[in-house]
Amino acid sequence: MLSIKNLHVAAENAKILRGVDLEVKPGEIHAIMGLNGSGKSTLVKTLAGHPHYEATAGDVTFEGEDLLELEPDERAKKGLFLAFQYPVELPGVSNMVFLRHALNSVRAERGEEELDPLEFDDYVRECLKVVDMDPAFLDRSVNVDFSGGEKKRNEILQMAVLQPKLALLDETDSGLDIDALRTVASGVNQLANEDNAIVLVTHYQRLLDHIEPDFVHVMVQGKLVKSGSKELALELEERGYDWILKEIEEG
Amino acid sequence: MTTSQQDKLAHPLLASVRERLASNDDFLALDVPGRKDEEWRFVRLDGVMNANVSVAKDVARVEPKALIPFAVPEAKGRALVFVDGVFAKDLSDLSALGDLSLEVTDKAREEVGNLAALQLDGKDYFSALNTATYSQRVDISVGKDVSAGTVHLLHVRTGGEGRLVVPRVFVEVGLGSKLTLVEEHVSLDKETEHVTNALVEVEVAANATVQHVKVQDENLVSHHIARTALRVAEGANYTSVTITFGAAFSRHDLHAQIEGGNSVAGLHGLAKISGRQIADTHSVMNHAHPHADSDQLHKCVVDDRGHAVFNGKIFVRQIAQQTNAFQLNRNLLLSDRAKVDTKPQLEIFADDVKCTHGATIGQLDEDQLFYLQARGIPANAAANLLTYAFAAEVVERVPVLSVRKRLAGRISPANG
Repeated sequence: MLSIKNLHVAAENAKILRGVDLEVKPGEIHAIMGLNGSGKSTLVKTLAGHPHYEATAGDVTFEGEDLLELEPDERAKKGLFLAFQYPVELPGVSNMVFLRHALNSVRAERGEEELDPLEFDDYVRECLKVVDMDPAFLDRSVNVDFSGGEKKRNEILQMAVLQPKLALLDETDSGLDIDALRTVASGVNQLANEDNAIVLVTHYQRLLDHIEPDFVHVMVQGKLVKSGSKELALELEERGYDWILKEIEEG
Repeated sequence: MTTSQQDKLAHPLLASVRERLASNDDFLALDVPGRKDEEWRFVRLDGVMNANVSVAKDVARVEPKALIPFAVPEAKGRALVFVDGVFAKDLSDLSALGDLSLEVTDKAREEVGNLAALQLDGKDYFSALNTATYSQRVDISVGKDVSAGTVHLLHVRTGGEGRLVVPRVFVEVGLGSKLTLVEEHVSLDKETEHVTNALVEVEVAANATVQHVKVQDENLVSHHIARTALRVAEGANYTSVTITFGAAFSRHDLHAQIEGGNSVAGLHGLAKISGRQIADTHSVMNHAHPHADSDQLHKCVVDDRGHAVFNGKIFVRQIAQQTNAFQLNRNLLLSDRAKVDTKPQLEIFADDVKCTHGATIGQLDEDQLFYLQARGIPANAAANLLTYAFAAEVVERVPVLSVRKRLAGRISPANG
C-alpha cells in the first residue's frame, strides 16, 4: 500500500530525514517511536503533503502512485489521512460543514454520489459513536474552544467519516488523560480492519498498550534504525534510547 | 456670483442641480474635500465630481419581476421602491403599515437635518449637497410602544442615463417601540454610472430598539456616498449592519450620538471588494452620557487591487463614566496588490471606562489551508471556505432572515 524508499526531506534548508525506508501493507499497524526532533512528525507531514517540507531524494508510492507528485487534497482523496499533532482551529467553519465538504470531496473521487445534508446527518451520527462525541460538536466551529482531548477525538471523528486506506496518527496520545486515551484508542481500533493500515507516531509506550502494533520502528536522526515487534516498544520504555544509539555506533 | 462660486458649481456632478445650488450660500461656502482633508486623505473624489449624471424627474420603467430577487417577505406591506432616486408608487407596497407612519414627502419639517447638523457643525460637503438637492424625503415615524416590524427601502438604479440619486430618510422611533429598517441600494444594469449621495437620520427614543440593515450592491462603475446619523436615548438600542459589495467608490460615514445610559449602539460592517474598488468607512461613536455600551465589528475582504479604508473614532466625553466601548477591525487581503488603511482613534476624557479596540490585517492562514487540503478539499475551495467563514461572522448579525440568507448566498463559496 505504502512504499517509502530512501526518503530524504529538508525544511528551510535543514536536512531532517536522511534516508527512510518503510513498507506498509493492508491490515498492518506500524508504530514509529523516537526522541524529540528525530524526524517522526516530519515523515508523516511530508507524506500528507505539508508545504514546509521538501523531499530532496527518494521515492514514495501509495497504492502504486507517486505520492510526492500529488497535491495534499489529492492524497487525501486517494485515501491518505493525517491525524494532526496540533489540530487547526477554523473559526466560522462549522464541524458539520467541514466534515460534509471533506467527505463529499473524497466520495467524488471514489465515484460515489454526494450526500445531501440529511443523508450526511444520519451518516455522521454513526461516526460520532466511534469516539463517543456529543452531536452538539457538529454545530461548533472546527476545533475552536475545544479542549486538547476534544481536538484529538475530533481528528479520529474525521478519520471515521473519511474511512481512509492509510491513517497517519501524529502524536495522537499527547495531551490525553487516561480516559481520553482509552476513548481515542478504542475509536482507532474500531476503524482498523484488514483493508486499511495505520502508522502511528508516538513518544510513549502508553498508546501501544491500547493500540497493538504489528511492527515497531525506531527513528534516530532522520532514519529508521531498528525495527521489531511490539516487544521493542516495551524495551524502549524500559531501557530508553541510549542502547540503540550505542548499537548504531558499534555498527 | 463670484468666480470662485462659479468654479464650485462647474463640476459635471452638479450640472443638473446648479440652479438650486446657486442661491445656497451654505453650500457655496464649502469646498470639495481633498486629500489634505484628514477625513478624506486616502481617497480621491475626481471620479465622483466628474461623473456625467443628472437628477431623474420621472420614474423610469422597471418590470416588477426585475425586483423579485430583492423581495423581503418580512417587510410585506411596508416596502418602498425608488427608481433612480424617484419614488415608484406602483412598485411599492404600503398595504400593511399598521401603527407605522411612513410617507414620502417634500414638506419641510423642523426636526429634519438637526441631527446631522449637530454632529457636523454644518461643514460636511456631501451632507450639505444632499440637503440642498433632495426632492423627496422618506419620513418613518413610530409612536409609543409600537412594534412596527420591518420596513424595506429599495433603491434600484436602471440602465440608460447616468443619474444623481439623492436619498434622504428621517426615522424617529418613539418610547419603547421597535423598528427594523432594511435600506438597500442595487443596480439593474452593469454599465451605467450613477452617483448616490444619501443621508439617513435616526432618532431612537428611550427604551426603543432599531435594527438597521444597509446593503450597498451597486454596479462597479457607480459611486456611493452616504451618511448615517443617529442618536440614542436612555435605555435605547440601535444596531446597524452595513454590507458593502458594490460601487467603484463608496464612502460611508456613521455617526452615533449616545445620549442616555443603559443604551447600546452597535455599528457592524462588512466590505467585500475586488477589482479596483474602493470602500471607505468612517465611524464616530460619541459617548456623551455615562453607563452606555457600544460595539463595533468591521471586516474587510479585499481582492485584486481593491482598497479598503476604515477610520473608527470613539469619543468618551468627561461625563461619560462607566462607558463600555468595543471596536474591532479585521481585514483579509486576498491578493498581493490589495490594500487596507485602518485607523482606530480613541479619545477618552473620562477615567472610569472600559474601551478596547484592535485592528488586524492578514492573509489566509497557511495552516488552515493545509488542514482543509489534508481533508480532501482543493486549495481553491479551501480558500473560498475560509473567506466565507471570515465574512459570514458579520452577515450572521443581519437580523432579517430573508436578507441574511440572500447575503450568505452572495458570499458563499459557490459564488466565488
